Amino acid sequence: MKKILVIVLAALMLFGFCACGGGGGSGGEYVITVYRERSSGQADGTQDDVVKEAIEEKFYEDTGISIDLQVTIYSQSELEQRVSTGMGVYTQDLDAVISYIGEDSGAIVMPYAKAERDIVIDLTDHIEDYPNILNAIRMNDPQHEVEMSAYVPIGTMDEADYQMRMIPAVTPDSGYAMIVNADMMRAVQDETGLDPDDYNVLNEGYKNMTFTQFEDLMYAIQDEYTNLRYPIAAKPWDLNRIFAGTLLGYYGENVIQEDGTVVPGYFTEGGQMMLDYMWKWSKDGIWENESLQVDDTDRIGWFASGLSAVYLSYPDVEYLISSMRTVESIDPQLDYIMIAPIADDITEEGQAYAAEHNGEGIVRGNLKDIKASEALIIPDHRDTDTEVLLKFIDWQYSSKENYELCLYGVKGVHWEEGDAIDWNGEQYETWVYPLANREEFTLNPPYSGKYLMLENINISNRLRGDYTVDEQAWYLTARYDFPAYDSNSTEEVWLPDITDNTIRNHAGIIDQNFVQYVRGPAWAGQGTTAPSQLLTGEYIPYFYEYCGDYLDFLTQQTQSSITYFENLWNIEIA
Amino acid sequence: MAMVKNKTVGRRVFNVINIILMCLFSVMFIYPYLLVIGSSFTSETSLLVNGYNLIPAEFSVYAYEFIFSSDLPFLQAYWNTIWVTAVSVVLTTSVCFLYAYALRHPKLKGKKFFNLYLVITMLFSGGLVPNYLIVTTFFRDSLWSIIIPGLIAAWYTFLIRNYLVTISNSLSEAAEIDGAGQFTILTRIFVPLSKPIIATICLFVAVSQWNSYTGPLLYLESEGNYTLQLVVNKMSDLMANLAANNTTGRIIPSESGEMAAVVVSTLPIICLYPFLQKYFITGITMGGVKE
Repeated sequence: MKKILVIVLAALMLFGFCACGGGGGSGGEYVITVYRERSSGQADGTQDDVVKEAIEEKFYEDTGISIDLQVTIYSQSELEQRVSTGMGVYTQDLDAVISYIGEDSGAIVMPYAKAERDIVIDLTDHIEDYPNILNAIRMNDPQHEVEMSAYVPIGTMDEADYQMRMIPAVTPDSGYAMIVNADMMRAVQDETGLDPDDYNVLNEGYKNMTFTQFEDLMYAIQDEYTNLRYPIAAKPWDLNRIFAGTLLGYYGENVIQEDGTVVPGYFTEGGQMMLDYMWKWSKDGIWENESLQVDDTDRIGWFASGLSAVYLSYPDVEYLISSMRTVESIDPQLDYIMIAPIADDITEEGQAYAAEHNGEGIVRGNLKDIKASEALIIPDHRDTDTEVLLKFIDWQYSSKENYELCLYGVKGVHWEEGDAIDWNGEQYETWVYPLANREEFTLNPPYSGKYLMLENINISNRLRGDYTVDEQAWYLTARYDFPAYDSNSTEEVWLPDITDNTIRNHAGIIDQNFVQYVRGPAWAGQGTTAPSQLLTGEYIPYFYEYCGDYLDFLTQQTQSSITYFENLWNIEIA
Repeated sequence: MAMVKNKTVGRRVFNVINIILMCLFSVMFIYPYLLVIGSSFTSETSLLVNGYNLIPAEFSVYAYEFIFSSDLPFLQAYWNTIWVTAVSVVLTTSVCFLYAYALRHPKLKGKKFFNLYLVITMLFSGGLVPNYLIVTTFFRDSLWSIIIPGLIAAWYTFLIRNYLVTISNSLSEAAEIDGAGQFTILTRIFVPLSKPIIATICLFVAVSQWNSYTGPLLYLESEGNYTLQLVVNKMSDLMANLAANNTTGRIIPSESGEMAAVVVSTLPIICLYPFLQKYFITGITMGGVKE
């Protein structure tokens, strides 16, 4: 019995060893290990391995360096865990981490880039050796907005040294839009006087709806369609993206005022107005007061089944196009239009303008997006191939051919050039799947694009060739025709961490109180006092009296940051 | 007599209320899972338009087709998880039982030390990075990285020990007198008498390993080694991403697919539980002296 038991246990152990072993690599001399966050719509390609081989081969031909690319895509939660252990282990083979950048907690690379200890490599001096990277970042950017995002302050509030600790992507900064149910607009046309054909961006000479007209439309639709969930289906920050230019307000970030002081966005009239309308619309059932519990897929479902009139859930035009494709597959008969940025006839300036211009408002555009939406950091580890990695990125940017190989795959096999599009006197290049495999590749994309380290529209900016004519028009209109409003927020200028405990505590309390007592009720449509009254009546005076040091910190640090960059590049930052 | 009558009436009322409450709680616990099953068999468009229903508005198995035909190694992950669970159950239960058997012995030399050694692991941990360093040094990207670190589970060991001390020493003494060795006493006397606790620990280990996510997330790198929860998470993320920016021209079942993945990943455990239920219930009430 004893013998049998021992033999069984031993067999189990031996059998188990077949589970050992890791994945095989291509055997390149330098193993480039990269963890990256999955982008929206990014699927693992069915032929990623083929593209990997092609890239490694071409890189070797051009540079004589043999590499083995080990790029893994993770979800945000997974990446956070992996990077946490990867960064903590000094001997870990981890050459780069790529994720989106921003002020919020989901921007995984930011805490590591801003850490005072040398967790990531300072690229300030290195980057000069890789001219293609620097040129690609600086192209078409006289204000160095993208490059500025790559610098983080290292040190204390009183003595911060700016270091380039990230390599930023360069992505489009404009392209937000709004979709409206045209059938619903027509149903209330007699009441509102708004004909959808006049506002459809696909029609020549389309008009900009004013804010007053838009609001009247929403209330009219609500009265007409009693089974609606909500006329407007959107997350709060998406509402802000669309209406920031109209209301001159961005409550969500710190903004630089005309006198140079920096204040939270909700200090400004525009930010307060935005919150007031959110509160009012939420209260009146115009906008969903469950916005944080609702998923984007729910919103697509609502719009497709006529339970909402406006769709602007993550209102970037690319996402809107794919959302509307889903809507079409649910209800092909649904008629919807894209409308141009809402004109301001509601602020003081807007009212004055409208009075002089026959009711037309000021068109400032939808919110301008951060240009460097993604960035790469290089851990300062024992086992990193930093120089090879930088050479690889430099090589990717050295020619359009290399860049497109890494972005789209092997030309002729995974993609080919589509017909160019003429739009307002400019030509735009496109890409399509090869005809022989178009159906197969459309269902199952052959390549994920993961071996392109960072997108850079200065190198190549092809439109999808499989867009319909209307979709192409939407894309080009939103990206290139619509103006984009710069909210003058301080995003892209990273501030040092607050080392003074008093200031840090004040900042924490302020933020918490604002969320709990002002923003939360505003979004939920609760309470009887408008957010602007709460803010101007008690909140902001309290802020100045007890937390003025935090405001001083914001202003001082932002100004010294801007001065630093103005001196660095000999420019004047607007 | 009157008192007995009142007690009976009172008891009846209590029973009725108890039963109603327990039924309500049961519905509360079962209803969400039934909703998950119903949604997994509902078409994606119906889910988007009509929301979640117990009975599918539009029956469809597309979600199951999608998850089993995706590039993620779902079936391989299923097998990996079954293997990890089975091996963990056998090894963890065996090792913990042996440790507990030694600890129960009244005359074990260094008993306090071995007890303390176990207790300390319940109170303190080296932290994520040291754990990661040790595990990846020996079992990098291997399924053993999920099995080996959990072999000696302090809590399970104490549970078993507490059960074993309730078994009378006179049994082992009698066996010794009859010439039985320690191994014979263990396998012929204590193991048969310990079926309830063994079954309980097996169930605990099985559920724990089946649902394990953090370990696989940290230690497994190649897709061929992924376990089920890791693949389910990846699949959920992938479907949500594809649905958000869908250029494939087909419906991505992000909602129904998630439900299908949940059903597929929980079904084996749900099927296993009824067989071990009686031992589980007995096991959680143990601890009392049975002399």
